[in-house]
Amino acid sequence: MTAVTPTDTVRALLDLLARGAVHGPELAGLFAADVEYCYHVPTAPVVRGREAVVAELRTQTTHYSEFRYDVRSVTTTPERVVVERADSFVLPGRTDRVGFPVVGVFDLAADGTITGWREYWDTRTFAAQTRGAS
Amino acid sequence: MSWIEDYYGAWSADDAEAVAAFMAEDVVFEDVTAGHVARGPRQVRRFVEICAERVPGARYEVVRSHACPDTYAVEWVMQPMGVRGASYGTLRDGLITGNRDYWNGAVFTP
Repeated sequence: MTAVTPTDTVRALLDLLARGAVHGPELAGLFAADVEYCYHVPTAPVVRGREAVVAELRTQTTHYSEFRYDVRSVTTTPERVVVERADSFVLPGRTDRVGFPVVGVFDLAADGTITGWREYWDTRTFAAQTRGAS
Repeated sequence: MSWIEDYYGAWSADDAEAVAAFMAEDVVFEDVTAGHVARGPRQVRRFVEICAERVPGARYEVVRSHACPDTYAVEWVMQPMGVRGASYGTLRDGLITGNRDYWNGAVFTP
């Protein structure tokens, strides 16, 4: 049996999002019961608790489709994974992709579940691509 | 994690020489949000001076950080503006060879 590393867990999460697989038990199983998630530090509210985080992710995926992430770099310890990515997705009514660079910080418990998830990115990059969109 | 505290302490002190001393000769230092890329310690030193001119009195508080032999990551707050950001970097022989800063330019414009 191959041990699951913190990086494996984070990639599993991102892969589920990329597949749009947000309704199965796999997604919830990646999070600790008391997980805290902030999809944009510092302006987004902190979402607390596994069920609330899963609900937030399900809501988010109704706002876009074809989410894709490209990993630029990863640095990891047993307790933390930091992933530099280029994220992109397609907004409703559009065919082009909206993308921006982002760094995600994931805290992990000893049992391998995610206890914290914080995303840092520049909202101006997103706004510049969506300005004028209906 | 003393070197990270020392490094951000140098930034807080606007000590361009001290910041540059953490850099490898071939460092590529990028502020992703600002769109600024500095190559080599001399350009990094100038970048620190520019930051000190544009945001005088800024100081950096390290919220969380970790450093491995070849990589590091830091979550920080720039005070007194309260700008939160994160940096990813690479290391070689204890010197920074790459750094990329991420923060939200919509909440603060230098």
